[in-house]
Amino acid sequence: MSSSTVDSAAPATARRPFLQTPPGRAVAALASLRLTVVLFALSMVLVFVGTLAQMDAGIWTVVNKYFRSFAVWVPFQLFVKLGQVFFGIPKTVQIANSWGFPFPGGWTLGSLLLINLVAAHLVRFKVSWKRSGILVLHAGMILMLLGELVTGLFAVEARMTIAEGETVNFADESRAVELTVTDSSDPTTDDVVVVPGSLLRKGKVIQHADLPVDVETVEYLSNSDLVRVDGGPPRRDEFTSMVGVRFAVVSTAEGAGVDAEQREDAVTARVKLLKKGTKEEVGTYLVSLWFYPNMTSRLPVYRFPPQRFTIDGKSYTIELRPKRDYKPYSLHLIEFKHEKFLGTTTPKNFESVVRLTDPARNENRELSIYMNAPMRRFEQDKGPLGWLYNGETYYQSSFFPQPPAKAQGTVFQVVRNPGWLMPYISCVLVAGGMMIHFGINLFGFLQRRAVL
Amino acid sequence: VTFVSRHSHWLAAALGAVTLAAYAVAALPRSPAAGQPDLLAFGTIPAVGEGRTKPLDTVARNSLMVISGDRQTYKDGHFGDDHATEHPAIQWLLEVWCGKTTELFDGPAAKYEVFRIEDLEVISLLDLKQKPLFWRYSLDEMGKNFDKLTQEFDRIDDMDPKKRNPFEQHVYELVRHVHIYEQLVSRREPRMLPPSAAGGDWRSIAEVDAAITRPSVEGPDGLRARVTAELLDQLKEQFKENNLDPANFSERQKQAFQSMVNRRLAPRQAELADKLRPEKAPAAEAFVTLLRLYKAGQYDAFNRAVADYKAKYASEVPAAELRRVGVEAFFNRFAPFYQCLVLYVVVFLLSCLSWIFGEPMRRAAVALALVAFVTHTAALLTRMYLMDRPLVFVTNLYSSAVFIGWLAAALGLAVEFLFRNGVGNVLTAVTASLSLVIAHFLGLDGDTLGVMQAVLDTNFWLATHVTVVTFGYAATYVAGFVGGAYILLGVLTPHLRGEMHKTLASVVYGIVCFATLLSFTGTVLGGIWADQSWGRFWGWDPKENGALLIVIWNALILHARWAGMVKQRGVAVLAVLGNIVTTWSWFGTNQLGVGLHAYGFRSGMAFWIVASSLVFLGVALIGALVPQRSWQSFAVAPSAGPRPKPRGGKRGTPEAVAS
Repeated sequence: MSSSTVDSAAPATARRPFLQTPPGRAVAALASLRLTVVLFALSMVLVFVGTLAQMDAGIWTVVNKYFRSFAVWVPFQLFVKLGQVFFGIPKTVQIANSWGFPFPGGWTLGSLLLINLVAAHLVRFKVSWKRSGILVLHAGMILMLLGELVTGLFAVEARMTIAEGETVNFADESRAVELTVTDSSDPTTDDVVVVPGSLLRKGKVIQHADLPVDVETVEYLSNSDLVRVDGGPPRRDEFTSMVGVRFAVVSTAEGAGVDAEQREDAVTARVKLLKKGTKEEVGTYLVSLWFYPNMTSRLPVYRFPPQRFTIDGKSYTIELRPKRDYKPYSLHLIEFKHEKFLGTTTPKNFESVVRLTDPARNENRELSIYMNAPMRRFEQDKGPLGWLYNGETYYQSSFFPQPPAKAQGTVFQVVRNPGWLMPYISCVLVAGGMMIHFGINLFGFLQRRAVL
Repeated sequence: VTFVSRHSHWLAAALGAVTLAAYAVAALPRSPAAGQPDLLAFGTIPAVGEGRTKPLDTVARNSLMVISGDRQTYKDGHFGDDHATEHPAIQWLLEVWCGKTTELFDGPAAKYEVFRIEDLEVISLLDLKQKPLFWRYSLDEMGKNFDKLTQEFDRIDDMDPKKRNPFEQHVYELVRHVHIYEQLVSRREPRMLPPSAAGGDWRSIAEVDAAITRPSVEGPDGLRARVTAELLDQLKEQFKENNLDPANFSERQKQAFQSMVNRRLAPRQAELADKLRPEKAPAAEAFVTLLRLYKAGQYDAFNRAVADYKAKYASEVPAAELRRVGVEAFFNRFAPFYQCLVLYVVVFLLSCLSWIFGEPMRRAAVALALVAFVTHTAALLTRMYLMDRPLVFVTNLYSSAVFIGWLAAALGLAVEFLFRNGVGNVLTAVTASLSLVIAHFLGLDGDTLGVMQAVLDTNFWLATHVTVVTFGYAATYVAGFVGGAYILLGVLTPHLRGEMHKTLASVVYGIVCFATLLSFTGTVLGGIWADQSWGRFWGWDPKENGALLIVIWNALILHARWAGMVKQRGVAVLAVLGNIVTTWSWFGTNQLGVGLHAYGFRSGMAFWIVASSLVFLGVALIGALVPQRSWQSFAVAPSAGPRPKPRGGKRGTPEAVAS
């Protein structure tokens, strides 16, 4: 049965004179099955190291560094960590991060695979019943790779945190931050100036007419930990939460934080505030996502007093928070249900009963969002096929206790992904293609055996 | 032509039929001998524990298994006592409940050596004698130094589990096991009293006792207040001597004093409960009565009391649930997976013999493999029925191993029916028995039919994604095992030639194709589930990545073959390496302790992952590095006899031999 499936480039090359020319040879090389095998092997290495990297980095750091990048530096320390789990290498062994090797990232390997696949079909394009399965499944593969590209480029994930009785109309985006300077001198409204997090880069000074000060970024940590300080002299970057517990903000490399399960990256920045247009310092502040209550499930032990500064007699607060995405509608949490199996701590059901209010659509109704039953909000006014790529989905993600009352709060994962439908289609194509291809082969094999 | 080979069809069929019949007879319920306690009947009393209704028999087996490491029985004598007899777990549970009081060290079960302690440091902490190869101890033995154990436990209780050293881990484990025992002995677990009205909660005897005595215990004139006053009065002098003022106790002192009060209160409260129960809690009274009868050795009365209890109180339980409880008790007793394991081993032996004695043995192996497969299938369906999850094969690591064994057996049987040369039988026997052994060790954690976390609680995705992806794992493993057989047979024996070589080569290739399809579909279905439940088709989670590795690896094998980079031998080597990839995905990723699928961390598993991977790597290296002319099967031309090896002459290569 082997010969029937050999996809060798040789016969095709002989038939097409173009492939004898130098550009043709290049195309043929790109189309080679050997390249496919090499790319598969490299992808496996990437996926493997990308898994190991999750032992001490947040999921998004890993995804951005390994899978949504062109190249990545793989430190040997990852393999030491693997050895600590499986071979009993002492926990103290530490290799500097500069020891490692460069490796192609997900974008590079993904696009090479895509080019290889497309080139192979260009060079060896031939429609026959025998190859129909391969064509269908490879078309599905192309769609899947493109789908991951679309997701990587355009999908936005956010969280909406609501306590019982609260009404919220914004979501906290997971992978972008913003710096806010708030003027609360007017008792009825807050005047908030928002600086996008992308401007917070080390050494850069941000100036804007709406800002009461100039902001210079002294230090920027894309991930940080909050560690508890038990006694001893005050540490650098120490903060005391509102219930009197001492914490220090440290870079992730320095040690495991209070919450080992915390896998979202906690951005921290040290900003120097300067009097507008001068080099005169107003103050230096450490702003961190750790001080944003939704980041720490609103637990009182992690509530910190707001950071204030005064300039020209006016008092402002400065805060770092996830980028806010305001919605034209709002959700009011009526009740959060957390049922457990009798006599256990195993959760049986998480369910949020909410009231959805959308003034523009004159909508006002109650609904339940629970595990495996998300709320989808498609925007119908974006054309007849708008639902294909537009809209958001709210998933029950987690919950938090809301002391001192017994009330609770809920956290929704809010996802906007224009490519969400592509994996569904490609899955059907690939699986169907494989069934056709292997089915044809198996049938042939059985027939040959029957003849024998 | 002998009689045996002429009639081997019928003989094989008869062997299968007789085996099945023997099982059926063995499985029939038997009534107890006169004057003996009916443990079967007692074991089918329903109870609720860990979130589901199950027979007391399951409670007993799982508790004893967790405590003792791996046993569902106990011996009534001391270590080294040759006359000790073995008893079932349910009898142990009865004895646990037959103490004078419900205190930890009271009662006959405290003397049974069931707590597994292997750590020499823990053994010396408790000043126990070493019991090589047994390592099980009774509460009585631990009793004299029990304070030291609790002291150590208090020290490490709040510690991050990952920071505990082996000694501390073992202390923690032991105390956890004692706690399981204590929950039973104090009758806080399981909840065996059915709700008196529909929609109510199941309650434990301890709960009911606390509820009925509460009015007389609490309150200003209650028993607690009186006991406290008595104790204060008694200790008045002592407090004065030590300059202590009960009104100004520290938190610690308050706790210590409270536990003294509780210790004194317990027997009096129990006495009170005994008095109040007949009137206020008839179900609890009926249960306690049957325990009393057992303790007094009035077994006939005990048997009648068990029957009465079930008729009167268990009848409130929905009929479907009661049926499940009965089936589960039967399932426990019959232990179908153990029976399958035995059968698969016999199949293996018969298949080996079939290469010497020929067709009749092969047919016998097929017959027994079918019996094993039917039993295996029935057992899987029964588990589905017990969990009330139609078409859901896999709910935890244990069930994934059982299911992988079943699929491997099915694939092996299919290969056998295609090629009829014994290869499929060996495949069935080896892969199915290995996965059942793995399942046995995975099942030692306790309840293998446990309830599922909310996010996993969806029959549709469990039935599709989990089933298909597990099928993909199984197929990849089977391909790897056949690949291993190809290499070992080729290198070590002269049998890998002609028809056999063709068979193995096409089986590896065919199953890799199958594995690619299944692992891909299963992985993508997982993605779709993820998209449905938290809006992320692909999260790069370790377990997802593991599944992806399997898919890519299978695709790599196929493309390498199509590119002509490898032929039969290369495919076999790559398929063996695929076992390492699958082991990583199935167990390895769980060890990292991160991600959404981090449900199956087990200490000690790392060793087995590494060991099995080294074995696979070794086999693959043999296949890749030993030059083909040194392979026993290809050392000589097929026409010549296997020995002696001719020097020079035509040396076969697999491809040459195959063509």
